[in-house]
Parts: sequence; structure tokens; C-alpha cells
Amino acid sequence: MSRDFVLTLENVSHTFEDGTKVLSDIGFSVSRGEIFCLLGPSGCGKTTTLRLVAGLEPLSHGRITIDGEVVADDKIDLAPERRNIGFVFQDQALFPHLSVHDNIAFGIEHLPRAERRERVMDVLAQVSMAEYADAYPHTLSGGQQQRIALARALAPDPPIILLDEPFSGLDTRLRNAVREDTLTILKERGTTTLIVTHDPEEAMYVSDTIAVMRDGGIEQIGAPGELYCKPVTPYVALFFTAANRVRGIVENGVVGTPFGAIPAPGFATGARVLVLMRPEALLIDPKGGPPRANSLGSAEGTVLTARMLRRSVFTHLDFGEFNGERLHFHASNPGHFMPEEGARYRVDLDPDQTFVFPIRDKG
Amino acid sequence: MTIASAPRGRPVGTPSPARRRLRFDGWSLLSIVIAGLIAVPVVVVLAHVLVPTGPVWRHLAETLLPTYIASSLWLMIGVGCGTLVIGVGTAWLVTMCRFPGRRIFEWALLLPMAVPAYVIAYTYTGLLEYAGPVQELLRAVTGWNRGEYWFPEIRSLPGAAIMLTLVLYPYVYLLSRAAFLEQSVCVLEVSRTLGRTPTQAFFSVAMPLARPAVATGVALALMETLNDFGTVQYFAVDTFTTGIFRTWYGLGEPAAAAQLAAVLMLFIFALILFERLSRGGGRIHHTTQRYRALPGYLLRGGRSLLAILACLLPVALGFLLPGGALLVWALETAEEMVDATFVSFAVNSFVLATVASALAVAIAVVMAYGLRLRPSAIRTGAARLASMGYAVPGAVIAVGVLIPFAWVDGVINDWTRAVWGVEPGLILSGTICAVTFAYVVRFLAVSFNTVESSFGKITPHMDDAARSLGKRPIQILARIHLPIMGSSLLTAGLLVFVDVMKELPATLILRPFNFDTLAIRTYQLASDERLADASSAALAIVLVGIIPVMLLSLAIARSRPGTQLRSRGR
Repeated sequence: MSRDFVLTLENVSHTFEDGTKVLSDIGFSVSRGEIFCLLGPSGCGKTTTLRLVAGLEPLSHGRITIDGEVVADDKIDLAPERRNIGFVFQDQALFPHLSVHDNIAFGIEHLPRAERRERVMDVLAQVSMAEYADAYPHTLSGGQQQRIALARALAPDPPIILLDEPFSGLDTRLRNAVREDTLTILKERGTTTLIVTHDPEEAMYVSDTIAVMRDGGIEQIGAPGELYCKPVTPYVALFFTAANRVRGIVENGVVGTPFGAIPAPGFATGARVLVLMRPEALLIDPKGGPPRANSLGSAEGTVLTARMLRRSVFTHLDFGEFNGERLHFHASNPGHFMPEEGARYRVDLDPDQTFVFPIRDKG
Repeated sequence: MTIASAPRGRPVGTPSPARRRLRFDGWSLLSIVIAGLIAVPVVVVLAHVLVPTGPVWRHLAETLLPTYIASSLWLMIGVGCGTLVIGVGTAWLVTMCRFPGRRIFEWALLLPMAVPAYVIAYTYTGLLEYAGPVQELLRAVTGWNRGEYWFPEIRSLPGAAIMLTLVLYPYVYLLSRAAFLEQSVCVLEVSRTLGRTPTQAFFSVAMPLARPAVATGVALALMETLNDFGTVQYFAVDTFTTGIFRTWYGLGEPAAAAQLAAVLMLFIFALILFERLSRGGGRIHHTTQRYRALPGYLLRGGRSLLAILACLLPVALGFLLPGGALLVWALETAEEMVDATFVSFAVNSFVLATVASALAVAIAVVMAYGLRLRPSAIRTGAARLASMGYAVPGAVIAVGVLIPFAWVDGVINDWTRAVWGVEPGLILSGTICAVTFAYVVRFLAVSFNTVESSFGKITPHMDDAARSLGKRPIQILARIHLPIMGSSLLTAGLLVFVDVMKELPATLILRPFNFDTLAIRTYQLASDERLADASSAALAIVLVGIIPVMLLSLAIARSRPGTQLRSRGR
């Protein structure tokens, strides 16, 4: 077993006591110092995975290794208090009857008094809350509570820290700031982190590696850029942004789209495929010049309406009938060019944001 | 694979068919043992259905049983109707109408809860008997003499029904008021816009929505009615509780007494069923979450006077009048009655109530925490079973406790005599063991409900956080839960404390020889027709009883924002 991995899950399947199956055969490894994210919609099993790692839920099947020690498999089930992991909850769960200092000291009571005090003040300084040692949780703001929760989890210096939707309880403006702070602290300390979120933007912002989860399984694991640019399933592609889609049948390595035939490498003739085109892939040409060099193809579309969204313009386009279906596509182009309503424009298709997936029977 | 520490002290490699933490463990075992012990009295009583008692039972069944059933039923009908009308009526008035004094009545209507039924019965007897102040006044005014006029006999079945109604209607009031407060005003206002008058809206919308709560309130009042011993005994109304007593002490037939208790349990089961049925099935979900200020029908002139009267009457008759009478008598007799023996009774009451409430709270914490750690079917079932005691009349519990305890004592004495030639005496049945156990059986539900809801207010993430910080469940209980729940535990203990102070039938049967409490003292003096002398002990019980009433009214005051009516205008 490689020493580089702080956490490894192998063949983990899980069924709740009431018989609900939540995880089926997932596995992944988190390297030392890595921020690893489980991303998925609610109910996909990501929080359960976190609880299994922490030992808060007894594992049904598989093996979990933390820092080289098997903490859960078919025979072993180490109690959560003996796993030495840090856990930060969505609702912070600070102990209301203990001061900030005592909250943080709670996990390091085995240390001598002076050392304990020193350690508490250290982590408090790291989260920039040193002057709040004697405050009580209810006097702190949401963002401050979040920092204390993080400090409390970090104080025992666990090999890995688990964050369960740590920012979703905060309001939008605060969330970005706290997220930024947390990322800085974790990276500065080099803390190995497993974080759970349902927000793709957040996942991309904080993670080194993301595992996209769906219905108790892992769809794809990779760096954020890899997932975004090379999704292996339509689910992964669509999780980050909505996309325009057409279905088609592959003939001689290509599939027909409104933009012309585009390559479908690796598919046999007759294979049914789904073509996903991100709004960013539909490049509206304002001037009517020659098609772009790397474009997969072009088509003329009628502008239904266009809206300015901060740094880009979002355009609703009508491409007429295709395979008996009326095509209403979305395009998102950077800059401030506003297409005219009702006007026709040539639209080029960017290959980097266009994906061809097989259509499996029933799926 | 490093296995530095074997989990849970189990040798690694031991074949284990399933997950250990899912399985049987200390908490479950403890829960089951507790539930089993708590269930002993009821099981003993029900098991006696099978014990042949031949002629005694036949005699009972032919002569007294029909009387017991009839008077219990009549009492239940009387108390049921009375508490329903007073409880729902006053609840509607104080929550939905505006009239002078409403804010005071909101909590004052709870006051009669502080008065045990037997105390109010003694007091009214003292007031209304031939030599009492009311009849004396009547004779002084009219000049009539004995036998020349008719005066209602308070010591009768209707009298008992009135006494019980006066102190039990707060159950119905409390629950229907809570139900009315929960109702969205929008629903009521819609019914008004659809052409209903306030009265019609009450019967067609508010009442049906509140029905489950009202049914629960009435069921509780009826359970208390069946539990009552002091009132019916004093009024010579033959019900099951008096029957159980007479069969036990008068006839010396424990088995037959247990069989009577079993029949009484049928009534209780019927009540529980009634309550479940009226609640279950069509569980009503409120369709809107909008809780605006309640409408506050403004009552003017005569109608507001009627409303005041309707609320004042139950408070006056259920608390002010008897409380005042007790106070006057207590002041008159204090010099004579409040002495060293009185203090020793008070100390006995205090000791019993303290021990029982501490036990009840401790057991409740164990069971509720077990449920919290892992809400398995076993633990849920155990907790449910252990909470059933509140429905069981004290006399039934007493019989169910004494029979097995006496048996265990007998076994112990036989054994020690055989081995050492000495008899330790009645270790269980002759000490405060028996009566304390009975209190815990009867009042565990009180502490359990409070403790459980208090646990419910602590997010489970608190436990998870503490565990991931290296603390074991038992440490978490001590370091996190108990400190956070502090005041709730005190409340739970206090509620049990007061119930124990008031409890009569189980205390009467189970207390050690010559171990008298304030309740017993009240009962004995009243039985000797020394009603005025009983007043100081009775007053002490009532005063202690006011504590939970205050807690309750505070709790409802905080229960819902928007409880206050719109203050001005409409």
C-alpha cells in the first residue's frame, strides 16, 4: 500500500439499516496534502461516504484505510473516536456551553494543560480568531463559527479532515470569503482534505481532485479541468453546465448535427449517440466573416432573444427543424456583443466544448 | 495491514457474522432490563386473570363488579362531558376572543391542576356538609332547621364527577388551546369569507382540526378519573380503585384484587385505543404555515361579561374557593397541626419525591440516550413500554408491585433462614423500595417525554463532532448532553417530584409501616372527618403543585411567536 495515500476506499458498498442501498462499489484514494472533493446532487451518497470514513456509520462492505491503518472492513470497525479524523459539519455543531477555547481544546484533552493552551492559541491564530478564545459560540457570526469549527477539527492535527458542505449554511456573499479563507488555511497547513459539496463551482474552486457521484456510484474522478474538458459521461458533462443536445446515428465515423457532420471517433457505424454542445461552444459570428479555422461546422440561426449576463451574452437561437425536432439552442459568448432579435447569424461549433456520448439501452 | 488497536476489545480475527455495532450491546440490554422491570406490575396484574380464585371472584362478579363498572362508567361520562365543555370552551375563549382579563385567564385556567382531586373533595365536603359554613349560613338566613330543607349531597357520584371535572378540565384546556394556536388563522378567515359566522367557523373548521388534541385531553382526564382513589373512597362511590382496596384489605384476597385491577386495565386499554383511533387514520396536516396574529373576535358588553364569567367560574370553583378555604382552615389550625410530626411527614414526602424523581430522570436519560445512539426497534419498543405506566392507575401498580415483591421477600427469608437461621424481614415490600419503584413505574413517562424532547433539541452533529474528536458515547453524555440539558433535567425531575407529592393510592398501599407522607396525612385526617385539621398538609401539597403549573404556562407562552392577539383595532 502506497504511503502517499492518506485515505483509501476499496470496493465500498453500503446499505442502511432500513435496507436502503446508498453506495455500490466505490473506491478512491486521497494523497497527502490533497484536497479531494465528492461532488454530486443530494441523495447520491456523498455524505454517507464521509460518515463511513469517520466511522459515524458502520460500513456494510469494503475496506477503508486511513494513514496505512485499516479502520473498517468486513472484520474491523474502529469506533469514530479512535479514527483520529477531523470533521466539520454543515451546521458547525459547536458545543454551545463551552467557550471557543474549550471547544477547540475538546479534542486534545490528553495533552498537558500548557501545551493544550498553546495548541489552541496556535490554531486560533491560523484561523485569525485569536482574540475570541473566551467568547461563546452564540456570540459569533456564521463565518466566525465556521472558522472555529475548522480550528476545532484541526487542533488534534488529524491526518485527514472531512468537510461536509461546510459553506452551504452561509449566505452567498459570506460564503465566497469563508471559502477563500478555508482554502488558504488548508493549503498553508498542507492538510489532507475530503470535502463534500453539491455545488460544481465550489468543487472546482477548492479541489485538487473531484469525484463526481451519482446514485451511489462514482462517475468520474479527475482534476477539475479534466472533468470539465473531458467528461466521460453525459451526466458529468451536464453537471457543470447545461448543454444543447441532439441525438444521432454514427455513419463512417461521423454523426450528423445541425452544424454538419462532426467526428465521432471510436464509434461503429449504426451506433446511436448523444451530442452535447455547451452554450460556450456555439460561437456567434457578429461580422459574417469566414468560418473559424478549428470549427467543427457552422449553421445559421435566428436570434429569439439575447441577455447580458455579467461577462458574457446569453443568446437563445432557433435553428429550425432537425431530425423532426425544433431546435432551440443556447449560446454563451464572452464580450458585450448583443445579437439583434430576429436577425440571422452564422454560428460556429467549438470542438473543445462539444462531446459525443454513446446512448446506452435504457440509460 | 496494521491493527494497532483491536476495536472494542474484540480479538482481531474472531469470526463475526455481522457488524458488531449493529448488534446487541450494553445500552440495548439496559433498556430492555428497565422496560422489563417497569412492565412487571402490569404483567403481574394481567397474569392473575389466570389464577383461580373460585368463590371470591364469583362473589365479586355477581355482587360488586356490576356496581364498579356502572359507577366507573357514569363517572367517566360525567367527567368526559364536563371537561370537554369547560376545557374546549375556555380554550376557545382565551385564544380566539378578546375580553378584559383574557391574558390572566390564559394561565389562571391551569391553576386547578395544582389541586389533587381528593383535596378538592375534602374541601368541598367541609364547605357544603351540614355543619359547614354554607348550610349554616343558609339556616341562619332562612331560620330552617335540620330536615326542613333539601340540600344537594356532595358525597355522591355526581358530586365526585363534579370534583374530578373541576381539577381535570385543564388537561383538555391545555391541549385544545395548543391545537387552536397551531391552526392557521388563514383557514379560519377563509371560512369567514365563505360565509360562516364565528360560531359556525368554530364548529365547521376549528373543532374538526383540533379534534385529535381534544380527544387526547379527554382521554388523559378519563385516565386520571380511573386512577382516582381519594375522592371516590371519601364519597363512598364504589369504583374499581375502591374495590381493589376493599378486596385486598377487607377480604384479604390479593389475587382477586389483582383480577379487579386486570378488569380496570381493560378500561385503560379501551381509552388508549380511543385516543389512538381519534388521532390516527386521518392525521391532519396543516396546509399553510402562515401563522399570523389570531383574529381576536372582540367581545363587547354582555357577551364579554359572559366570557369573563365562563372563564372565572372554573378557576374560582377549581382553585380560588377551595384554595381559600384551605388557607383559612390552615391558619386556624396551624398552631395545633404544624408541629414536629407535620415536619416529619413533609420530610418523608420530600425524601420519597426526591429519590423517585432522581431515579425517574436517570432512567429516562439512559433510555433516551440509548434511543439516540441507535434507534433500534428493540430500544424504541422498550422506551414505549416503559412509558405506558402513566396510563396505569396507581392502585393497579400498587397491587402489581406488592405481589411480586412480597414473593421475592419470602424467597429471600426462606433462604437466609435455611442457610444462616436469620430472617432479614421485608427487604423490598416493607421499605421505601416498593413505593419508590411504583412511583418510577407510574411517572417515568413524565420524565422520559421531557428528557427525550430535550435530547431532540441537540443536533446529532454535536455527537458526531465529539466522537470524531475522540470521545466515547458515555463521555459525550457527561460532557455535552447533560450540561446542555441541565434545566430540562431539572424540569423533568420537578414534574415527577410534584406528581409523587400528590400521589395517594400507591402510597397508601406500599408505604412502609408508620411511614406517613403529607398526602397520607391529608387522607387520614379527612377520613377521621377532621377536615380542617387536614388543611395544612393539603395546602402544602397544593402549593408545591403550583410549580409545574407555572412551568407549563411559561412553556405555552413561549411556544409560538404570534401567540399574542393583535393589540389594537381590526
